[in-house]
Amino acid sequence: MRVIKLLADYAIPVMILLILIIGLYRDVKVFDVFVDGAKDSIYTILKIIWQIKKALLL
Amino acid sequence: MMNYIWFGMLVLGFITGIINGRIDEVTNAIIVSSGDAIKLCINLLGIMCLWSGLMKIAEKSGLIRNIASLVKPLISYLFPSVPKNNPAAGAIVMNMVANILGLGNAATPLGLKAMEELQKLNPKEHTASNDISMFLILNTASLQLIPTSLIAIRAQAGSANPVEIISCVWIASAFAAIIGIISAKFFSKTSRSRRVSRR
Repeated sequence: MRVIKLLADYAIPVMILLILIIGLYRDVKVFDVFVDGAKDSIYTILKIIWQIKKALLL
Repeated sequence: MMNYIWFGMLVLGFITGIINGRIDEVTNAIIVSSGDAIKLCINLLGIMCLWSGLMKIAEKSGLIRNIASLVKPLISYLFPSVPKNNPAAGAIVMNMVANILGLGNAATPLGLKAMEELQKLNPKEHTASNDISMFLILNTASLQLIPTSLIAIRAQAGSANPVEIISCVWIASAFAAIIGIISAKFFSKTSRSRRVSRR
C-alpha cells in the first residue's frame, strides 16, 4: 500500500522534472519551448469548443 | 449511427433512473453535467497547455524519439500506418505511459494531442481510420499499473485494505486490452470499406 501510494504520488513530479532535466542537459531553451508548446494546445481546445458549438447550434 | 447510439444511451439512462426510483437525480444530473462539459473545456485548457508545453520540451530534446524507438516494434504493430519518427508515435507512447501509470490528468491532454496527429495522417477526414480506432480502444481498455481513482474511492468508502484488488485489476484490464486489440485487428482486416458516420 505504502509503496504504491508513494509511486502514484511521485509519478507526475518525477516525470516533469525528468523532462526538464533532460531538456536542459541537451541544450533546449526550456522556458521558450514550453510557452511555445502551450500556445499550440489553445487551438486544440478551441477546436473542441467549436465542435460543441456546431453540435448545439447547427 | 451516432443518432441511434446517442438516443439509446439517453433512453437507457432514463429507464435505469426510473427503475431505481432516482428520476429526480437524473433531472439534476442532466442540468449539472451539461454545465460541467464547458467547465471541463476551460479546465482542460490549462492542463493541456502544461502538458503540451512539456511535450514540446521532450520533443526538442529528443527524449520522445528515444522512448519511441524503444517501443518501436509495439507501435509499428499496433499502428501500422504511423511512419516512424512521426510526432504521432511520440504522443501515443506518452499517452500510453500516462495511462499505465494511472495519471488521468496527464493522459487526457496527451491523448488529444495523439488523436490530432493521427487525424493528420487520416486519409479520409470524416471516417475514423484503423489507427484512430485502435488508439481509442487502447485508451478505453488500458492496462493500469496503479488504478489511482479506484484506490481513492475504496479508501474513502472505508476499505480496510484499498489496494488488495490491484492484482484482479491487472488481470481484468490485461484481458480487456488483449481482447480489444484482437477485435480491432480483426475488424480492420475484414471490413476495409467500413464507414463510420460522424454525426
